[in-house]
Amino acid sequence: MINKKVEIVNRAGLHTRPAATLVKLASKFKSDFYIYQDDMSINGKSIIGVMTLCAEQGSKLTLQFEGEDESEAAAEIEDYFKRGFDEL
Amino acid sequence: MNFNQIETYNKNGVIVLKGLPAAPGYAIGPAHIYHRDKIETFPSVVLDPSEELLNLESAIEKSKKELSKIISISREKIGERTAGIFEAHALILDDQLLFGPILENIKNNRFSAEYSVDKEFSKYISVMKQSDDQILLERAADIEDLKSRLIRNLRKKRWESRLKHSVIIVAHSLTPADTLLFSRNEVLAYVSEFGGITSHAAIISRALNIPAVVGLHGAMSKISDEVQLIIDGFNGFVIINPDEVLLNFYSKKIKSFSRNHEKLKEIKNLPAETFDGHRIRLNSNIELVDEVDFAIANGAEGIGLFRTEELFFLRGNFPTEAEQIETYSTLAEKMYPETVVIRTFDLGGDKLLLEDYHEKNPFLGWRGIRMMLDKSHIFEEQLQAILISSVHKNVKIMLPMISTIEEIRQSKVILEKVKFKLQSASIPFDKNIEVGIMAEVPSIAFCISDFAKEVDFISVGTNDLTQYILAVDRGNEVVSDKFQEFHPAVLRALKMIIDGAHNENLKVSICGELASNYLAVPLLVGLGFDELSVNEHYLPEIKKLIRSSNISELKELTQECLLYKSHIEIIKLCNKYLKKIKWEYD
Repeated sequence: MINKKVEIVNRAGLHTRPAATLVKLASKFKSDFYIYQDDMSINGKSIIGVMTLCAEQGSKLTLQFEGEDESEAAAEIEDYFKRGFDEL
Repeated sequence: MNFNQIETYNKNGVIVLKGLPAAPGYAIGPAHIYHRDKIETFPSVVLDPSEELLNLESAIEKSKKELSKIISISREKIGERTAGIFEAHALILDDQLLFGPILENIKNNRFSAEYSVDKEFSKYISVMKQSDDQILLERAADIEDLKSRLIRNLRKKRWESRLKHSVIIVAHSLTPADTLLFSRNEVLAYVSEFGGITSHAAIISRALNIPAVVGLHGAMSKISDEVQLIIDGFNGFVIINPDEVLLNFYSKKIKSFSRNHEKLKEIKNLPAETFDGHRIRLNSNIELVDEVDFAIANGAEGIGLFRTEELFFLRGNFPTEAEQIETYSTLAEKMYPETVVIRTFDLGGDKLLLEDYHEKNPFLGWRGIRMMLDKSHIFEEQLQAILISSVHKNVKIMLPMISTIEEIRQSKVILEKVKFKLQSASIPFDKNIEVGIMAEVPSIAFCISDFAKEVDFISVGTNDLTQYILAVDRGNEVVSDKFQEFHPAVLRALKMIIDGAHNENLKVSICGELASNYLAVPLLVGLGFDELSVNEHYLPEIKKLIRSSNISELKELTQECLLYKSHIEIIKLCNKYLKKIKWEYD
């Protein structure tokens, strides 16, 4: 299991478009992917879950990966967060 | 007649409604009332769950087909980025987490598919509606639309989006898909009772260049089919049954708007980019909210400087907090999603004095931030009004006449205090609002790397900077020939500011008069300014000038000018450059 701490850096937050891209990205991997915020956790492969997370700029999240390709998934998804969902 | 009069217009049979201006433009035409089917479901039990599951499967397939058609229309009409909104909707239809419980509900509890879909979707809609974030709140409408689409397809009802002739659509609410699909017909404008300027429907109307007024509560009960309407998407007016006076007023507006529009069309939507691909952001400086319409019409990408002192001059006294909130919010809404930089009161110097207090050297005296920090209750009230107007996250704060680090820190302490107050009262605002400073005092140029670490952006005010660098009062006729905007020291100070700020990864803008000077623009771009903010009248010409240049040439020109000892040499070379690219100016 891999845990990664990330922060939402783009201004508009994890809104509809990046949420869709994130879910598509996560679905490429076999590993389970969960996002933790405060006391809430959601399945990162579920668009409706990611949308209801309502994560705005500055939100600190923990990403959790578990499965055979967890390190590849962690690397690629952490990078997508760091790039500010390509909106910087 | 002006816009303020329209709001109080009171003639027999004419009704003027005021809503939120969601997409700019004017329209005159007949109303078309659009009723979307109201979706109601009941917890009915079915005899054969397997048939219900098949029905659900085909409804999902049908909905996906509809969405993929919407995606392709959207790509063609407004581009890849906005089409992403609908791609996310299509993805929701594949969401196992969402559909798992729906299938369970049908299989195990034998509830109808309609009811199971409604129940599960509504759960998420209500979670989203609880958010205190305006933007996420409006996204609940998207999920609502998807739910209705699925249920309509479960009921095997057809999808209606064709219109007979040019109309103004009036609806309870508009979904992004409605907005896009109606635009295939000749829709003149959109009016809706609900919705905000950050809704996807509003974003799409703006992308389609179709005027829209939203948040017009009770409109459906006042407007009937085929009645004539005027839509003013700049100011948020919907006029029902207009008389000759109003029709003439708006016909003229439409004519001059489209004339200007035609002239600017070829260039308006093009970026301010040099031949070799160097992109500059072009913003507009404004003093009155009404100017924002012209700024948008002239292709402004945002408001780089809103001078709040004008509110003071108009009344001869400080505006109330409520007046400020109204002004700043209107501005933020009109510009959304683009940004607005609001400069806090910059009084003193050559501007009106707060009190009957005469200084020997007003320009070196009690002005700008110095006055506001002493009058902190006025400052707090203004910051509070700016924060309240920042709910859409497109507002920035700019502090004028900063000369010491302490002034920034003290201002931030006051800002944090106001933020805490609003948070305690559960009043929403942008918690990450950006704070920047005007660089108009030489001390900033010398210590730029220290100042840059304290703020989110820098904007240069060239009039004051030049005056303070050269110690020349620009209002004093005796020495006015010494006020040299192209003085080598000014040029080198600008370079220090830009390089220092860039080292800290800050964007640097210029909002001084120099940015509206055609002769200076090549130098400013060559120096590395990221944004120019100019009077709206200059926008198209300056954009054309940038688009006729090469960044490599501008950099060379600037390098050469930085070596010169006199402003005469600099002006000469700039003139030569404009001649070379065949640019004519007065």
